[in-house]
Amino acid sequence: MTLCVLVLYGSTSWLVYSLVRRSALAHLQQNIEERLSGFINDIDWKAGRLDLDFHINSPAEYAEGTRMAFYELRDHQHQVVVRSYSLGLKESLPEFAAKPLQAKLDDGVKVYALARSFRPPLDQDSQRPDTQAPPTDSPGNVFELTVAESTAGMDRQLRDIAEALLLGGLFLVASCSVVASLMARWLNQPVLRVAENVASIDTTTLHKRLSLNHTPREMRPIITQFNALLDRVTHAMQRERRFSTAIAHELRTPLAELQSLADVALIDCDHDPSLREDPRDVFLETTAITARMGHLLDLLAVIHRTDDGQTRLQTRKIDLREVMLKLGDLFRADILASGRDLEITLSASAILVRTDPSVLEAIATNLLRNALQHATPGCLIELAVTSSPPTLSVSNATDTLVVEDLAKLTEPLWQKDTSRTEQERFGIGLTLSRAYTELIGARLSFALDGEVFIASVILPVPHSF
Amino acid sequence: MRILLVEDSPRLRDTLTRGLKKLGFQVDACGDGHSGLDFVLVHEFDVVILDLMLPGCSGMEVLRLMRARHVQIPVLILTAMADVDHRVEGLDAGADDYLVKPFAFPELVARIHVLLRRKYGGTANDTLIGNLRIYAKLGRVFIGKQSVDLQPKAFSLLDYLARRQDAIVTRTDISEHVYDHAADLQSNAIDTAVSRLRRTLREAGATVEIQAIPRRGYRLVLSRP
Repeated sequence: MTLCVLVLYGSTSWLVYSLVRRSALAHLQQNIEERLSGFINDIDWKAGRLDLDFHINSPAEYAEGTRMAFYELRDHQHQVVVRSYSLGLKESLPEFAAKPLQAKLDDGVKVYALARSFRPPLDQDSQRPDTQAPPTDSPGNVFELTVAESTAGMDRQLRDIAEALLLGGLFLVASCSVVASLMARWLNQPVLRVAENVASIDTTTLHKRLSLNHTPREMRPIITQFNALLDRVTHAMQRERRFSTAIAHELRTPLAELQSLADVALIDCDHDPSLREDPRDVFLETTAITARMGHLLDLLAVIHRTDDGQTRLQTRKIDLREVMLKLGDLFRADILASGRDLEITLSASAILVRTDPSVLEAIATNLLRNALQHATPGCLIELAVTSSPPTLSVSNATDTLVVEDLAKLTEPLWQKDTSRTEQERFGIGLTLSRAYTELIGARLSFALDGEVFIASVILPVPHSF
Repeated sequence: MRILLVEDSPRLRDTLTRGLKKLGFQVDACGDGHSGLDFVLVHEFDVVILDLMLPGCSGMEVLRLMRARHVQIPVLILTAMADVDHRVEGLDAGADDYLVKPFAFPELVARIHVLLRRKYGGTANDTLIGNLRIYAKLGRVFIGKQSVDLQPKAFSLLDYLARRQDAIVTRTDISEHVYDHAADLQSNAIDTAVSRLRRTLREAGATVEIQAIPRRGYRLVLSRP
């Protein structure tokens, strides 16, 4: 800011100085010209001699020793006829300067000089003709008058102005520096305040948000975006926390089962042998529990491998309708046995996609299992295949889900029912479906239309086969 | 001693029930919150072991509803939720103890004994009345320096009477807390068991006796010199 003001002030000062100098110079030159014209008008022939009244009556500045104004009259042979007293005896002004000319006298006095050639007229007021005067048009009747004025006065004025401008500039720079410093501090206050607030947010205070009150308009988009980022971080941490809780629950309960099984088997019951555990039962229970824990780890490993892109695809051209019909046949008996009904809606024409059929079937199977598990008893489970874009969907009525749950459905181990009464499920099927859909370049989408839950797999439109 | 176990994992529920019964406790077990609440509102228990993540109604809700209805049975929360926040929430809601899965079965039993001591008074698991010593954790009874062998039911009966020393214990109490309702109140099964226990104590030289209070029940008191 200070630099800008300095440049601006410098430019303006230079402009002002130039204008003043030009104006002063013009004034000086005009003054010289007027003097020159005045002196020339005052020169004529009188009784065969040049009448030099201007010399006799010249103003005080031409007096001896003044060194302010000068003139010099030369004849056609460049011989000095008369010169002002202000010039020394040997000094001369520059010869014929048709245009104002800057020159320096012997003692260093700077002058502007202007010369003009002229033919002095005969004395018009005389009653008799001046027979001694040369003819006005003769070559000897040509004189040259040079008038010069010192620029000392003008130079002094310009120097004063330059000094004033320089001092003003220095004062302005100092003032601007102080003002700029204060303004920078004042303008930086909101930034510093925001920085302090940001610094105060850590993992334990992620719920805090930056306030938009008393914040400059320019900073509001940044703060809004920062708050949105905090929201995303908070959600991610909540998701991680839910996952940690879920994995702890999934592992703690079977571990408790194992430990209790061993502890109870070890209870000393010598006083009543009939209470002793059958080792075979204990081993069978132990095997079942470890198998469940192993299955959970296997599923998590599959998700990890799929997320890492380590699963290889075997893509080929398939008709989505065939996939749905196959799954419908596979699940029909279970769905009907559970007291629900099944309806399959297919388009008349084939819906061809290029994908890995086994992966697509795994996704659809998980969606159908989910529907079978959570659909309201007695409701209709509907399978549909539509085109543009190729979509495979499973819908069913449910009374357990709310809209807020939709974002959590694909979180590993998330289950609406936090209890673990149903020991065959982990809440991993939809997580796996999400990983599989991403693997085949598809998109998994969930929607809740009233009490109807719709899960859709939207496949990419094939460019060519 | 009668215990209610509310645990949704069938395998853990069965194992704990089996183990606690081996130690002489009467155990009722259920797998969801609503059933658990029904149990505590209808029956009388000495201790409730309560899981938190239950289907239907969470353990925390069960606990709050119990306390709201002034059911003051000691509650031990048994859960996989290990966070301090959950522990604090559980204890604030009225739980008497909190045990995180996985746990050692002996520790669970020890904590049950602590809750029983708190309920029936006393500072140790061992009961000493006259020359009768009952080591509840070991399931052993001594008269003076002599060990007395008792069947688990007889031991539970003696332990229950001893914990309520000088108080009248009804046949209904005995049926609920010792026999898990298995004893028909109209039959003389309880009277027979008490009579047999009384004879065992007398023959071993115990300085305590079990008095029959007509139409009311029994009480264990120190023998008159």
